[in-house]
Amino acid sequence: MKKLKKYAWALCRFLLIFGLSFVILYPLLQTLSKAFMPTEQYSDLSVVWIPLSLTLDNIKNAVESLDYFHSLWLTVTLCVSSSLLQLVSCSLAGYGFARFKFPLRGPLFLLVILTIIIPTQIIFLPTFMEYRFFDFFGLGRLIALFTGENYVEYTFNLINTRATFWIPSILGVGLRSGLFIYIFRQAFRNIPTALEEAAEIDGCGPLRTFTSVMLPNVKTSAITVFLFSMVWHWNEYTLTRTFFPTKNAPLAVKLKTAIEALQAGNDTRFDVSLQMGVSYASVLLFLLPIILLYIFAQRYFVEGIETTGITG
Amino acid sequence: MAKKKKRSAIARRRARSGFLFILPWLVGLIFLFLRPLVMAFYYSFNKVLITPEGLNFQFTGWENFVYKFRDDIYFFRDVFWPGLSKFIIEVPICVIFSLFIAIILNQKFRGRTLSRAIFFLPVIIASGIVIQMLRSFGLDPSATAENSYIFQGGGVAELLMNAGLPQGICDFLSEVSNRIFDIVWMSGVQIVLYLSGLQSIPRSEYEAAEIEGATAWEIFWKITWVRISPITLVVLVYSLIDSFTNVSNPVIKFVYEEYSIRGNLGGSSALGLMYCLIAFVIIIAVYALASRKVFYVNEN
Repeated sequence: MKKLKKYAWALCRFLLIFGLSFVILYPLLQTLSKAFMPTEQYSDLSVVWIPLSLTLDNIKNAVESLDYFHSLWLTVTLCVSSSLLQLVSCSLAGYGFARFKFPLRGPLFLLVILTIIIPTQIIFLPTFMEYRFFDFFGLGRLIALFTGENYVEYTFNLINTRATFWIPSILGVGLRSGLFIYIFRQAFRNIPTALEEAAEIDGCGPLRTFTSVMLPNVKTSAITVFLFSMVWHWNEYTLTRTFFPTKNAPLAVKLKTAIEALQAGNDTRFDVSLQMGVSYASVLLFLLPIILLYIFAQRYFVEGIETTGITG
Repeated sequence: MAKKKKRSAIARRRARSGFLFILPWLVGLIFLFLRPLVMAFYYSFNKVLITPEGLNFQFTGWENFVYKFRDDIYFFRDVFWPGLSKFIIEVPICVIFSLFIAIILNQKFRGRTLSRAIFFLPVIIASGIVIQMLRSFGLDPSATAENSYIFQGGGVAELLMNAGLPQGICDFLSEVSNRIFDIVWMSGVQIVLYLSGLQSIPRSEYEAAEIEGATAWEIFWKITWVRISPITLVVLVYSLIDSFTNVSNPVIKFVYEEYSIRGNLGGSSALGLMYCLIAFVIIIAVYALASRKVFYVNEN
């Protein structure tokens, strides 16, 4: 009887997991299949998953429509560099909050939490102006005060450059930085203080202790933060759309504009019969790099979060 | 005396180094977070015009906060209220669903690693834009014609009504079945959070309960549910924030379009701030209510 119950539960569990996995995988597998399927077969009821013949036309059209390799280069460099900068600033801040007592530490950490809660949509207009007329946070205005010229003379237009992501990243207020600072703080708090004391006795200053003793001990968290930062930068739409308003934009923006244009019928480069194929192939091209990253770094994604003590 | 003075000197030096560690963040916070936030407040009380020399402001008082509600009678009904009430349905379902899935994924069975990898996939792709896109292609499985009548909302609701369940519960369940696609795709991070929480519960407690002869039902409510409650709080707050700040939220969408399409900077800021403030009050209220029920193991 007990055995029967066990098998019944195993069956239920299997059905449930299978069904829900299907819900997750169905759109992805359909995209994969349709991207390589000649568009004539879309309306063929006898073809559901496996195309009768394969074609690269959709992919070729999508590469053209997205200006793929150009945009891919921009996106990859933007993601990697911003994530690395974020890693530096967030680990520094996380360590500061975890191990040092200084005045106003509590209230300042509350502000870290606040940066997570306030959506970027609320503050991205003033931020846009900051980068459009960038003068090193008021330095240009200060100089202009002395020279008597219009301060606009002393500003730089950073719109359409990667600096719009680099500056907030290195200053620890980039994409979801608050969350990363929180993760690092938790990770550093889990390391025994004896390690630091030993380093201090051996004559390490705080910075040296940080780089050669503390950082190697939070490697897993650092990798997790890096991967998540990559993925979130990759997927970011609102900010990339705002800071890259021209044609030369990261993939997320390209993808959305391209598909919206196709659906509205504004893109006349492709025949109506080909449009669905281009759309599917575009989504595939957008997702492919991060899915590959996920497959190779899966261990860090899955185990990483479980061990970083996000929840501790 | 000398000793005390020395210690305070060390403490002061430590404080200074700590401060240096957070300094880059502090600069960013002031210039790229607090100042824009104050600016957004300023924008919201002005009519903002974009000119070649920069921005031009005309003070308008509360106009930006009220114009949409006054001029568009459907705005509150079709945009603002759905944006606020979304979470009433979404968040509880999300919390229950992710706990349920996490418990299953925490059990030992063949293919566990694979299923975990699949269930974490939404964390990687949950960008909103791809989901929106896949949906616009009709790839949302709950919307395809392959589904038989019974799995569509109406079918489920009717079936349950005939089974004698009250109207409210029926509506809730049919809502769930309609949104299974959204729910699964929304719950990625929550499942991860719960899973890590479940793994931190000591095995010995379950073993003790089993020896005492507790049923699975009792074990869940007396051990798992109690021990997991701090995580539930985190999941609850995360889901709320996610639901409020997601790109698919109608108000956030409106705030974005008001600026990017209609060029109304003041109105966009005002509505955004107002929405944010309401969301903030709700989050704090939920947090305060929920944290009273949370059980912390006194480890220190």
